[in-house]
Amino acid sequence: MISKPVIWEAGLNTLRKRKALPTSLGTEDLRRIGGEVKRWSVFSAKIENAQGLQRINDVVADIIGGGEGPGASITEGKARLKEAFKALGIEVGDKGKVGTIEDPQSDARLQLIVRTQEEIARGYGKFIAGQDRDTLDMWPCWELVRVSPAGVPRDWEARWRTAGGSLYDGRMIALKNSDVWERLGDSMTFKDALGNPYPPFAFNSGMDVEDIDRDEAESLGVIEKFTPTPLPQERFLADDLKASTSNLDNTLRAVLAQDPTFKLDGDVLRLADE
Amino acid sequence: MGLVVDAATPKLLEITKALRDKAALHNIMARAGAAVIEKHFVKLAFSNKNRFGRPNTFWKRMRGSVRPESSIAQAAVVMDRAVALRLFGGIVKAKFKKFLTIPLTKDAYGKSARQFKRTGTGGTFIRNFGDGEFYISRFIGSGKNRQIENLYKLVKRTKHNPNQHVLPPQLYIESEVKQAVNKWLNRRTGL
Repeated sequence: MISKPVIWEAGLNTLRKRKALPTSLGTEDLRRIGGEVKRWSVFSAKIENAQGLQRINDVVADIIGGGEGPGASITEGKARLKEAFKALGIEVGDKGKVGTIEDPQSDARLQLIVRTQEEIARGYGKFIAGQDRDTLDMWPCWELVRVSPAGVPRDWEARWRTAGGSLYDGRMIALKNSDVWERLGDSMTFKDALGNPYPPFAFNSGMDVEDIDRDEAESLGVIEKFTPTPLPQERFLADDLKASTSNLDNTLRAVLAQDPTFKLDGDVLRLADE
Repeated sequence: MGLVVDAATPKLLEITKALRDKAALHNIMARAGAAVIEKHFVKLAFSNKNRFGRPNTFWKRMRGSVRPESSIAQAAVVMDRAVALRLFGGIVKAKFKKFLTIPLTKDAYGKSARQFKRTGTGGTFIRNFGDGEFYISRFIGSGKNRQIENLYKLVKRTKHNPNQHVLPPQLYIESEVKQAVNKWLNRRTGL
């Protein structure tokens, strides 16, 4: 069991120091494990090399940092990753899948890695920065909106309903502390979800959230006139790491049971103690 | 003899007290300003088409980069510097290499030239047309159908013209921020 909560940065640093996850797992399998672990390993599926994983972290950190260095653009970041993977011998096992998204060196895969990691980091930062009482009082709700065109859009209204959300004049709005957001990003419910209660909620998503102020929320009927301000939320790494393994098959359980990084606590998978 | 009830002073005192909380006031101002700009970038995302027929992701990224920053001293909205280039115009020069690479095909878009293989069949090569005109190209097809495809044009600099429509009008931003401040004052003072 995790004995104490850890703050975000400390938790991430802990993860960084650990060895790579059992990398015989594919993306589909890793997706079942849990939000936070997945953030650092899901795109690394089948990459059995800690240096490769570290290189992903370094490239994304450069891009998010907005530095002026040669690796600070996404295009350059992808090129750096491809060169690193090549040098480390990280390649697709099945030669028939070269160039597809299962190929770590393919543009599709590199794009997915870099873009999604960048978006998650920004999403988390905005989420945490918005957790002050004045902000939550003025804008107690979020609306799920499309912010960029999509080639093949998902049915977000159906997802919203599945997550327990209601529509207000056809708009997907909920209090910021509503469970709807947690369920929207739940990879147990949506296979392509990322496991976080803030955007991006899924891979390659053109959806994001907009703040809805109190007056508008009241006029739409989302909240009552004297609905209390949502309380600031703290996100601990522990919350995002907890995952139900009830749907894992026996093979996966056996692989995980052999990894000292994790501990199976009945049906729940947790990080082992430090 | 009349009785005058001063109902204004207590309210004015409440408002003054709230306005003295500069940190909170600037937080609200910055957030309101950020929200206006984010919505504007969404409009640009849907109205600006990518010339290669792919969904425009630039304005989505720019929207993601917008963040409010505030302190006791000021309220500000920060965003990626690429917005400033489009707003004020400017010259972009190759910084770390000799040339900038301008993609000419859908395949080349969003990729570095290094991601294309450099040797063997279909490998890239440099074409020099003289007068400083260079391209990164490759052969496609085979036999009689073999053709040269220019993937990138190499240039030493590009010029961006200023475009004031990259941001919402100043007056509009100001009015939205003022509206948010008024609402915040009402909440703070219970008026």
